[in-house]
Amino acid sequence: MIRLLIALLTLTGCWYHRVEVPSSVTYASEERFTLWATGWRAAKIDAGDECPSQTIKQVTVRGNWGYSLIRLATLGLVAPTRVERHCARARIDDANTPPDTGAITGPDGATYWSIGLGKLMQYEPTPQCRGRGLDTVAVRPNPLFDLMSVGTVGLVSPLRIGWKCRPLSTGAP
Amino acid sequence: MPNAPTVIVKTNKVWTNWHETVRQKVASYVTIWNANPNVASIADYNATTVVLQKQIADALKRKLEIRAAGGTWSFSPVAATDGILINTQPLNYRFWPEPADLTSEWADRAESLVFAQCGMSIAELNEALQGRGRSLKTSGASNGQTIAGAIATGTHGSAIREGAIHDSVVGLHIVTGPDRHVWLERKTDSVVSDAWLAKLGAERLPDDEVFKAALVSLGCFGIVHGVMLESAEAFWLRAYRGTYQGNDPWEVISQFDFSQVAPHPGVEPYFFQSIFKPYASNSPPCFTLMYATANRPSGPAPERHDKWRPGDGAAEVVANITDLAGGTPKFLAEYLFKQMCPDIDGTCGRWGDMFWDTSTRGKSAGMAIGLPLANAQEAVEALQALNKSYKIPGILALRFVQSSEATLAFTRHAPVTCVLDIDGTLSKKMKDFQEAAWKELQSMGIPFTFHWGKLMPAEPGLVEQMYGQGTVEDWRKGCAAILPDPAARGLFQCGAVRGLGIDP
Repeated sequence: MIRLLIALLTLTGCWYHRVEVPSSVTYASEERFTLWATGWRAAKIDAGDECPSQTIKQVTVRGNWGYSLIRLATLGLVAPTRVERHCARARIDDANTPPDTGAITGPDGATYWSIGLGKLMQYEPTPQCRGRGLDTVAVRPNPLFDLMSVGTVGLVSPLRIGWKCRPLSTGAP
Repeated sequence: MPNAPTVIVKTNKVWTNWHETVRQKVASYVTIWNANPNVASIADYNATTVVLQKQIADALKRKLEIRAAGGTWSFSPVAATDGILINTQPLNYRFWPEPADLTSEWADRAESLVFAQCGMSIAELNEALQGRGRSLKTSGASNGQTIAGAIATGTHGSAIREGAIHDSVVGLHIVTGPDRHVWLERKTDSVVSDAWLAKLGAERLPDDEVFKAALVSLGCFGIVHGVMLESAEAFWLRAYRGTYQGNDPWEVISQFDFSQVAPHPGVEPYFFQSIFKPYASNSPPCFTLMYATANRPSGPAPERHDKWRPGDGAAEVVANITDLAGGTPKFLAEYLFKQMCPDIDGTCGRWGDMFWDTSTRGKSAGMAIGLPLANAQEAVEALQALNKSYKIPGILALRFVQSSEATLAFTRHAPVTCVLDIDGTLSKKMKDFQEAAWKELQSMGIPFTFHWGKLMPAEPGLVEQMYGQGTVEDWRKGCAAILPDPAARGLFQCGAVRGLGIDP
C-alpha cells in the first residue's frame, strides 16, 4: 500500500490538455502566457507576432488551481487560462507542396479529457489539419467542467476546445 | 534586397530535450527564422548564413560555447551547452539543384539530390521528396529529427542493404566563423559546380578524410547550415509484424536468410527488425518485415493515433512502479512488449507513411549499442540472462545497418552493424541494467560502439577504446582542417564531448 501511494505521488502536479496538428509541421518554438477572457467569451490563442510562420503546431492548456477557482467563483465571467503555444514551422510553398484545400474550421467545441492529471491518459480529438497548422484555438469557459476538475482533484478533467486550421500561404514569387 | 531573418533571443532559459533526459540552463537560446519562412530563396538562405556568423561572433566576444540544436531528439546531452544554443528548427528551406549547379559527373543525376537547410525535419524531407517521386533511403523509426541533427549523431534505420542517414550525404555547407563558411565534399566525388558555390558564397573544401570526419561531427565542426543529400527513386513498402513462427530465428538474423520467413518466403525485405523479450530467453522474437515494390501494393494505409493516448507521465508511472516492485511484473512486461510490438498485417505506404510521427512522450530511456552482426546472438542471450537480476520495463531490439565510412559512425562494424537497442521507461532499474549491459559486452570481448544520440556512459578513454586512438585522432584532424584556429574549435565544443575526452 505504501509503495502504491508513493507511486501515486508521481501523479502530482496540474492537469493539462493538448491540441496538436498531426503533420510534418513539427513545432519550432514555444511561448507560455496567461490569457484573461471575460464575459463568458472563449480565450482565443492565435499565432501572434512570435510565430513568423503564422501557424501553430500545438497548444497545451495547463490546469491551475487558482485560475479554476476564479472561473468557478465568477461562474466563467472571468476566465484566466494558462497556455503554452508551439509555433509551427513554415510550410514551404513551392511546386512540390500538396495543393491546399482551404481553411478547415473544427467543431465549435470538442471536449478534451485528461485523466490522472493528464499524466495517465488523454483524450485528444485531433484536428484533421494534415499539412497545415492551427490558425486559432479557442478555450471555452464551462463552470461545470471546472467543478469536475477541482472536485476530482484533477483526476478527471474535461475542457471544451474549438479550433480552426490555417490554409497555406499562397503564391511563390 | 532580401528581408532580414527573425532572431528571437531568450536568456537563462532551461532547455529540455524531447525525452526529458537532459535539462540544461543556457545563457542564450536563439531561435532563428528565415526572412521569408514560407518561400525558399537562396538570397534568404544566405541572409541566414550571415545571422549564424553573427551568432558565432557574439559567442567569441562573450567567450561562450555555441551549439546548434535540432529536433532535440537525442537522449544524450550531445547538443547541450551552457553557452549559446541555436534553435534551428524553423530553418527548413529546401532547394532542388539544377544540372548547372552540379559537376558534369552529377549533372545527369540532379533529380536525385536535395539541398536541405539544417532544421528541415525528416518528416518534411519525406513529404518534399515524395512530391518529386523520390524517397529517403532510410531514416530512424520516427520522423522528428532535423537532418543536421540526425547526421551529426549517426541516426540510422534498419534498411538492411543501406547505411545510416549520413551515408546518403554528398555535401555539407558549414558555417565555421564570423567571416568564413565552407562547402565540404569528397575530393574524389565532387558534386557541385562553381556556380553553386557562387550562389552560396562558400569556400570549397574538397577532402575525403575531412568529409568523412565531418559527417558524424557531434556538432563540433561548426554550424552545419545545409546538407546535400542523395535520395532514391520513390518506392512502396508493405509491412508485416508478428511473432516469428519458424525454427531458429538466429538463422534468419545472422545470415539474412529469409527463405523460410512468412509471409513471403525467399523474398528479402527492404527493412527488417527483430524485437526480443528481455525476460523470456526461449520466447521467439517479434519480426518486422517491410518489402519494397515499385508500385503500390494492395493493402490498408498504416493506422494513425487513437484519440485516447497515454499521458505524458504514463512512462514515469510505469518506471516508478517497477522500481518500487523490484522489477517489472510478468503481466506488465507482457503488456509493454505488446505495446512496443503490435501485429501488422500488410499495411502499405511510402517511406514517410511507415515511419511517421511519434506519439511517445515523457521520460524514456534509450541506449543503442552497435556491434558486429556475428556477435548479435551471444549479446542478446547474455543480456537476457543479465536481466533476470533487473527485470527491466523495456525491450531488446535488433536493427541492421550496412557499415559506414564516416570516421565516428557508430555503425562502423563491417560488413553489417547490428544495433542492439535497450529501450524502455526511464527507471533506475533500466539505467542500472544499461550500465551493466555494456560492461557485460565489454567483459565478453565483444566489439561495441554507442549511438551518439542515445544514452551512453561519459567515460574518458572509452571512445578511444571503442574506435581506436588513430580513428579519434583522424576525427580531430578533420575538425582542425575545418577550424584551424584552436579558439574557434573550442567554441563548438560542449560538456558532453569533453566528458568523453575527445574534444578536438
